[in-house]
Amino acid sequence: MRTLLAVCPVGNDIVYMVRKFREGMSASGNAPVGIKGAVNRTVTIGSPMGVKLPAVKAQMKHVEEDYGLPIPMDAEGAEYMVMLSSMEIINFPEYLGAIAKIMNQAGKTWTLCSTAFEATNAGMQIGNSDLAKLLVSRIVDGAERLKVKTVISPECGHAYTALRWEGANLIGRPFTFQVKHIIEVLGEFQEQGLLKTEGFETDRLTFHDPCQLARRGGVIKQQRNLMNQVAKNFVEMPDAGFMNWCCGGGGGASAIEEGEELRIEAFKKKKSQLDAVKPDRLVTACANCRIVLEEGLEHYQMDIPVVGLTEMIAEHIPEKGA
Amino acid sequence: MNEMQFLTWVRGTGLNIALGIFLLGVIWRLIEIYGLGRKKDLSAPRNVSGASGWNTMFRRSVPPEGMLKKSPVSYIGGYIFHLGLFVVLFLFAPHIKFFESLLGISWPGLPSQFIDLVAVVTIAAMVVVLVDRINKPVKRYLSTFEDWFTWLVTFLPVLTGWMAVQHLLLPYTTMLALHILSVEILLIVLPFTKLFHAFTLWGSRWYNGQVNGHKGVAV
Amino acid sequence: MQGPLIDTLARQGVTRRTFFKYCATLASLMALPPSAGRAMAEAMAASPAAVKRPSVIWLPFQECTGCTESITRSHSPTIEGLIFDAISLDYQETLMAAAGHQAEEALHKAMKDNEGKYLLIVDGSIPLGLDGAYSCIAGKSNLETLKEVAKGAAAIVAMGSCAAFGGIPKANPNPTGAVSVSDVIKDKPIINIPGCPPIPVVMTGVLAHFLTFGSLPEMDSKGRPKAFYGETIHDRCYRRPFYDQGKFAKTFDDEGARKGWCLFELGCKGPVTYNACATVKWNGGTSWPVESGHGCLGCSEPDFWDAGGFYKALSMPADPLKMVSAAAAVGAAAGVAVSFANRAKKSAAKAGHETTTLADLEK
Repeated sequence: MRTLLAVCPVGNDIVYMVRKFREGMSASGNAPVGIKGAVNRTVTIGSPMGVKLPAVKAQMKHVEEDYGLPIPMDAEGAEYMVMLSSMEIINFPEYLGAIAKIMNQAGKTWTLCSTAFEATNAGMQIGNSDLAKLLVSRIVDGAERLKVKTVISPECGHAYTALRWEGANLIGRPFTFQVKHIIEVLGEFQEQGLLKTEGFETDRLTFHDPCQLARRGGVIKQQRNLMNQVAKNFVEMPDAGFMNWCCGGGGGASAIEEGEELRIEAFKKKKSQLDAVKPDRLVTACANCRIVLEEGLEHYQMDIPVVGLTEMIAEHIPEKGA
Repeated sequence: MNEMQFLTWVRGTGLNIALGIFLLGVIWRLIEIYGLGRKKDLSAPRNVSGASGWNTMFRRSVPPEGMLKKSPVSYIGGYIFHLGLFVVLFLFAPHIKFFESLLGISWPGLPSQFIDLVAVVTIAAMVVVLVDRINKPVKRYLSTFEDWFTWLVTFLPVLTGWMAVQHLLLPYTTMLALHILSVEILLIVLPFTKLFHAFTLWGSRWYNGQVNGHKGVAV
Repeated sequence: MQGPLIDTLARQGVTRRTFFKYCATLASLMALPPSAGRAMAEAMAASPAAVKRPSVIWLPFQECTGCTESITRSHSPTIEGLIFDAISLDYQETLMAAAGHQAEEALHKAMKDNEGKYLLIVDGSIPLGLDGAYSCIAGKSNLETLKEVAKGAAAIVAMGSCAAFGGIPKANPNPTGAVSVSDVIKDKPIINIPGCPPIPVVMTGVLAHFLTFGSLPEMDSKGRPKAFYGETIHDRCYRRPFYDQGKFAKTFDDEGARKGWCLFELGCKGPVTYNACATVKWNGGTSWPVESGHGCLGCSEPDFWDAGGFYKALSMPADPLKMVSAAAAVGAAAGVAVSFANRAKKSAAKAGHETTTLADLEK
């Protein structure tokens, strides 16, 4: 994937060819079972992992208690509307806490949306534009109902692409709000001096650029500046940035069991990249990358924990009032 | 048919047919491809300098960082044979005379010994690229009949042209006629195979660059 | 024409030494070993009056007499011309004193006396149209005559491009249905000496070979003696270095032409013409077409008259490209038509699109 977009001398971009193929396969009922289930849950329940609003509310409550910060929901006129991915709701609630801390420090208004909290667009992963449109419309409706200026995509590659680049084309009109990846927002805060951190990570860290964020999203510099703000020992892997190598499998390939062998094989390239710098921890900004990377690291018995960048930044935000 | 009649046929009727099909195919396909049109991208653009179709058109002529080391055969071999084809095709005096007769414009050529050298290098590069395609499992797996076929129809004009000049295997007249015939096969095949990239290359690069430039990615 | 050839030559001021030198040159021209020169000299010079000289019959068909002119006049008086003293030229309309019935009698006598041994030289092509009525001698069509005379010949020499390949009479649209000797006669050894006209020394060389060895010299795939037609004009041309350097005369009167640059772009057919002009030259080695500033016409090649124009470079289209503009128009029309069809298909697909639902995924 990476090679064609970035190097093909005749300008082929295979992603769009694969997309067309998936479109036909999904419409004719030939999509893999695993991903069909995810789409079904996203459309009927609201999230690929079956998370419903009460579960979100429960997490909100936990986080409010843990961090002592309010988690607004359906706050009309907030500047930012924050999207989540199921992964974060279930496995990484720290993300929500991190957002609360960061927003609080920056002095920005923000909100969650009860009708559109899930950012994952399983319709795009399965390659079906009608379903993708349905899912994007929920977010657009929510954002327009709450009259927010900016919708923030979480650390999830497909979610970002679906909303930032595909969304307007799926619904057939330009958005009335902006769409930004959380890393872009953090980058802006950093530039505006709204992101104050204390202390540094001292172990050896490296950053994995998610394809949808960097190569296909144009966000490359921000994550590095952010890394350097909180890490003393940040090293780059060879080919990092625009030419970074795949985590092992994107949102489609990671959602199906049949892809495991392929992911493990593809991870070899990642492994060689990691072997070149031997980091203590691996930082990234995509929930999908994170899961696939962890799978690969476990398979090859590499003891490298994977962390989200937003979370790591939040850890360095001074406690309120401190 | 004796060889002079053969030569006259390929220079006359054969060329007429081949150029006719070539032009027909090229114009047809260009109109068809570009007539398809593309939807306007409705997402808000991210403007970054250096990320545009025009940039990509030129940038793709240079191997991205690190790629030269990763696949030297594809890059170096590819460069050599493409440049070689260009030099041999456009800077050999008899070829210039051919273009002059078609287009009415001419330009200075290069000494035939130099062209000869370039032809040998081009042939060698094409063979190396082919061997690489056969040897590398991934390349071989991805290769279809069309890949082998287009290689052959590109290779034959260079080989027969060089052999004609060198008086190898067959009398010059016959080899020259075979050379022109092989070019005619290439002309007929070009618009309808992946060799059409000779025409669509720049447009595709521009489009790729434009789509990604919209996202602020300098591809 | 009495006594050994050498005496005749001596009477005409040709020394023995000059004659031997000539034979040696001839032998080397024909790529024969040095001993062949001596053998030739002996075979020709020593033939005394007592020994019957080989009979030669020369038949003229659809021709312009240029070939005869070339052989007999261009070098006159030369050694080549005198070679005829070594043969008995029993029938040659242009040269013989006899005419009418006498001439025909001479022909038939020679045929009868030398049956199976005489050498037949043909110049001119044979018309097949209108049952051969386009060219007749003594009330017989050339076709009849050729078949009749060829029957008793030891070998046939097709002199000039007309006899060898049909030549100018055969040029498009070939109104007389002209063909070459080898198109008619299939059962005799035939050697082609093409050229319009052929080089005299080639003619005499072949005759010398026949006289000396009693056979025809080694031939190429077109029946031409390899010794003279083994290489192209281009490969032996003194202007070849200019070709290699890419220096070409663009007109017959430009600087390049005056500097003697290559005539390729002015239509020279040297690269595809196999002949000895560049080495042997014409008029006793005086000059040859390219030296005089004109490109080779390719006259020793079959169908040279129809090979795409004398003044068109070899790499240029032989005929005007009539199909090209029509093809471009058809291509444009097809492209536009298909584009409309595609757009119609696209909008039809859009109009007919049924929104896919979850149920579709499970089809």
